[in-house]
Amino acid sequence: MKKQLQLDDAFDGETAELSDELYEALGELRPDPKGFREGVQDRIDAAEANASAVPSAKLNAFARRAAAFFPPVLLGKGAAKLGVGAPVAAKMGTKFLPGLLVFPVVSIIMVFFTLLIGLKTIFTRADGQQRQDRDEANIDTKLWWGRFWLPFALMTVLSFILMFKVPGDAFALLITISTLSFLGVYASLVRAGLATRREVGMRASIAMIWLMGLSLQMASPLQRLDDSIAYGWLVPLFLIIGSTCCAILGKPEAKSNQKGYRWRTPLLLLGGSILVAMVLGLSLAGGKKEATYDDVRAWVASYEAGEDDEDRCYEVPRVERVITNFYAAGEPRFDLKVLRRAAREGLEVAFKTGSFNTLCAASFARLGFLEDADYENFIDEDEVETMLSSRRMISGDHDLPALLAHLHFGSLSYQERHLIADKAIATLDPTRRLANAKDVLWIIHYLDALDLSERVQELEQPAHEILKRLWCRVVSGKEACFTAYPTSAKRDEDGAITETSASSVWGDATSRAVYLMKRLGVPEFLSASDLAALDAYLLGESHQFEGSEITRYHAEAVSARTLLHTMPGWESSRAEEGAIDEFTVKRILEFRVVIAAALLVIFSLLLTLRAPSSTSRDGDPDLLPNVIPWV
Amino acid sequence: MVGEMDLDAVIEQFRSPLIGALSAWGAAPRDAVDLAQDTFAEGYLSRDRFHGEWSDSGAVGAWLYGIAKNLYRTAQRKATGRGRLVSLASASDVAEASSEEAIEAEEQKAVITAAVAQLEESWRTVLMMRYSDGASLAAIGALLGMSERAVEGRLRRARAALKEQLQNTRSMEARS
Repeated sequence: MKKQLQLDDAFDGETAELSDELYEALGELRPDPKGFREGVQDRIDAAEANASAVPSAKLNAFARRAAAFFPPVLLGKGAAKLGVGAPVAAKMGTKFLPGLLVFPVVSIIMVFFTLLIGLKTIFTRADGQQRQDRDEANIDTKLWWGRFWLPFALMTVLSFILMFKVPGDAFALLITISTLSFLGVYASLVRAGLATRREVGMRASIAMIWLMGLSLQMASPLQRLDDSIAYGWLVPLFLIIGSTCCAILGKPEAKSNQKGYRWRTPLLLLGGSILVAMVLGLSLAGGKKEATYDDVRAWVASYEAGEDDEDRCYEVPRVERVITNFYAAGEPRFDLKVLRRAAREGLEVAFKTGSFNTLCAASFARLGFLEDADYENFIDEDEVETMLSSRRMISGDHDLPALLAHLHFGSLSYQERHLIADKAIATLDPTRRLANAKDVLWIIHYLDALDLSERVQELEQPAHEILKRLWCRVVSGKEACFTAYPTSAKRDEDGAITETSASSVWGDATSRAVYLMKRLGVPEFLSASDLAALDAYLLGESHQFEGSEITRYHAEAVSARTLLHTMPGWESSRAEEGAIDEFTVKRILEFRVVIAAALLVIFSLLLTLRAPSSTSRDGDPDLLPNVIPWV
Repeated sequence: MVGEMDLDAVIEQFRSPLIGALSAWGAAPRDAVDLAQDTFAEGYLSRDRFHGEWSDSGAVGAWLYGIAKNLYRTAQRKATGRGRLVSLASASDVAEASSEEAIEAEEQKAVITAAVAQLEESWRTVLMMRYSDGASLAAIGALLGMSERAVEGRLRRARAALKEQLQNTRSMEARS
């Protein structure tokens, strides 16, 4: 007998032939109600029976929600089949924070896993169960990417922003938190008996291997940090040891004597050691060491200012800045015999060929490398008369040799000296677009030459304004320097640096600025921490590559740093730093990455050790409830 | 969560519209039944995470509908790699019959299911929820988050569309 559709709330026209036809056609969608109910109950009973043996209810809310972002391949079969990582009807918002925390690590592991699966598919043959497992893993991987490709893309963009645009260790912090959260989920799974020691050990090992890869970049030649060993090598060392230990602890006992497993641990250790040794070797070969005060003294004592005679004339002013910095710092006189001989040779050749650049003359004079005959080459009384006229001075750099020659052979009256000084000081305009330290420096040279050094203080206010425009506190408080020009760094409305350029020449500019600070006092806008950061920058600039010779750039950084340490503001900055030291906060902060790595290793080892070697579900997969058959 | 979950009552109320909905989304009849059973089991096992009142059939329906949708999506993605989840229309195509009368009945079923399958999804869903086993307008409305009147309106439009579809099909058959 044909079944008829029964509708209790039929509306007008509904009980027509079409309804019955539809009802007939959809017959396969009408299961026996009793059988259907029993099917639901079977699923519930199986899940609850399993839950009493392996209580998934023990999973905390964080782990349960975070696990929704895990692919089954990362959760382990048991946890996945219990539906821990399955999409549930809970609102996405409740999963957001746990998901955000674990997602970076999960996604990076998935990148590796996907590559691995792809390589295995291409290069290995599998039969039977292996093939089925691989197909399952393929499907799980595709599913995960299908669901999370957009968050992955966003996270990748965020990572680049954190790495290159955000100051400090924001990216490292994110990854560390994410790794801890990732392992935290496993801790919860372990407590609930849902993860075996092998699952935990292998995943902790993988997590630490890729973290090690990440940390190796911190082991690259260091430019600004004293604790290079701690920063450079303790982190990857801890992680490789931790990774190896977790892999060993997670090794399945039953397989430990099999041929492949017997060699796995030694191979893992050997591979890890080779990796560390290779990177260590590369780093040592390309590493840097600090140029010390003694190194610079020795370098100056043997410096011949280049091989070419013309080069020597240009090189002398550069070395002169190094020496001037040291002398300003009260350091004893340098042995300049070699430099003097080389400079004189260059000078004589340049005079003969008419190629001497008068801009270099003042440096020769300040170092005492000029003789009477040399001064005769710079005599230009017309120029001196111009200086004494009412004409406005534009820049005195080129005219300084003429003044030096005039003062060497004759003299100027008190009024004449002050007139030239007034005109030189009047040229200083701190609002000029390209105002820089050189603008102040040549005026100081004039005042020194005129024996009016006491008037240098008149430059304090405009010079400090210029220094403020040149000051560039870059990132993380570790890097701070003075730019060559105010336009060398773009700033936002609050004065914060947004973009920099040509930073390679900032060592010179910073050296000049430090000298100005020595002569004119430390500007108020520079705090104690700014000075400490400036010191860190100069320390970085003073590092030279292993095996290479010291250059004037390193020498200049060392001299500027030495000079910085003689300033009154420096002492108070040290006092402040010392105060922090007393509370050991600074030391802890300096070693934060190392401490985080050590804690991660300890946490991973404890987690792996606490995990049961097997769970009640192992070896009896048929007892698992088929609540969610596709997961 | 307020009150206790009466699983029997929930199954009784939502079984047929849920199976209809799962089938309308594309699950083969057997898979639709399995997925509906999974939905009720999952709902019961995770009942602590239900934040509404068990007496509010609208809230319960929306919650179950969400679970079913998620389970279906997961199953569908997996099926892409495994070739499972044959749709209702294609399942009917492969059905076999022995007698002439049975063959005619099967053909008739195939025409209807093919016509249903060609409808817009919202119409197909509401039709299959209603006519798979005569689910009430209230139960359908609870699952879809709609009022009974809105369900009725959608059913009318879906029936009209199906009728037109069938007439077109039959007139084409007559011509051929």
